[in-house]
Amino acid sequence: MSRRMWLMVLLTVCLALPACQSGRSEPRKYAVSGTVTLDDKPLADGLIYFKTIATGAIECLDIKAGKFKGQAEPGDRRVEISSLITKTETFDGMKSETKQNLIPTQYNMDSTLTAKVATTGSNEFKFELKSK
Amino acid sequence: MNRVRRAPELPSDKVYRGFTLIELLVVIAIIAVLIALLLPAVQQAREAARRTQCKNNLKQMGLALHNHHDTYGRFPPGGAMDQQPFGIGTSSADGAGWGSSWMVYMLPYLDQGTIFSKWQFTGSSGAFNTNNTNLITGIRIPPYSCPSSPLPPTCGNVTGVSAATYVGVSGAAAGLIPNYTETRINNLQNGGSTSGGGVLFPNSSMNFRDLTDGSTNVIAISEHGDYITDTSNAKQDWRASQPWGWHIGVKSATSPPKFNAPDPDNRSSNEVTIRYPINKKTGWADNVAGTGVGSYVGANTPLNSAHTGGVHVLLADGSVRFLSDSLGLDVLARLATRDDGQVLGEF
Repeated sequence: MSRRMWLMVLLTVCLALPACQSGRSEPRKYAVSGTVTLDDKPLADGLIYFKTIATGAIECLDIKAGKFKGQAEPGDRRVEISSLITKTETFDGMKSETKQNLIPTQYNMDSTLTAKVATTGSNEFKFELKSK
Repeated sequence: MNRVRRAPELPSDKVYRGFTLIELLVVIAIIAVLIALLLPAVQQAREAARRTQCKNNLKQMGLALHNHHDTYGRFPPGGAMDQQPFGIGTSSADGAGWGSSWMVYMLPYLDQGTIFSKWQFTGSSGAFNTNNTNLITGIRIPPYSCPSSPLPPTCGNVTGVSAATYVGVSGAAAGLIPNYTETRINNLQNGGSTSGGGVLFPNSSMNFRDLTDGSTNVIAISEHGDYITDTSNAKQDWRASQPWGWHIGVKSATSPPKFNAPDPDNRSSNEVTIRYPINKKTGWADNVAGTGVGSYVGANTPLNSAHTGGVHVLLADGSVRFLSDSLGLDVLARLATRDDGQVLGEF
């Protein structure tokens, strides 16, 4: 009787053992931080993107009082900076709220800014933007 | 033949053996474990059924696309303005206004001819034409919603009108395909990057001859049916039909790369241009002007679905494929472009 019981217990344990599920591994990210100025003044509120166009990788960090801090994938990244204000469009009765960008397109849509995110050391960046 | 009859056992010889408490508990535990194993399997079976339903929806749309092609000699426009050949206007002046989406043009081939026959292709047919809005208020077109999608059934800004969980694929943004330059691109001032390199794009009238990559290698329709999580971890419904419903088209008379006249509002609802990998659903800020992902119709919200691991897509030949999240963006961009001339690997 005792042996039968132990067999049953063993069976239960075997059944209860959950199959280990390994999640798909995200690329490792590294800490980045830095400052953004617009016309030599800290950018009050905005967004900074670290992008790799070819793979679609994109990280979005907040800029507050000219500073940003967060994590990004390593490598040569294209940097895009936006600062959006909400505006209500009136055309055609749609009255959509749209967000317009205060930063010129050479820093976002047609950005030439780059950053090399390294896997060692502190990734400190400084971006000085001009509104004209 | 003599039979030896054995004497019946006396009742007092019988040993009555029940189960002990421990044995009972163990049996119950085993049954509990078996049920616990079964329950997720039941859920998976239900999800598998929903996936099949979703595939069938896309298959129906594939047949509708082909029937439309048989009738008109071209695929429907991804989104049109109300001007000929898509509406009744003859010039951009009298056709000005929001036209109808590809989903409207496919209605007769999805058993919805009654709506189509009463549809007016004039006076902002896809947005402010009250006849049309009344026709579809409270109506859900069955093939246009995936049963797995957690998104609300109705759109945001037109009361009672449904939103779809599928989207037409307009092509791919520039810079994604190695050794190929996509020039049919408009960077919209409030909509993201819209391409004219696919099958269903603004004011498109593609036919099989135009798909020089072969219709088996071009995506026509994909899913767009899950929440996007923004940078503050809030769930957002940013699919292409969310604000104005499944029926809205575009408001400019031309296709990319000239998709900017006559109006500055050239968003393209119910269409998507590939710019990011499948199911990249987290970490977005509301920024349609920059990333093309956000509220009020971004052209670049990634293809996404609530199915585990990928999205269903309809290829232009009418077949339905499941594309995995891990599909390379370059392969996805080649699939979205109809004439890139690049060898497409396994997908």
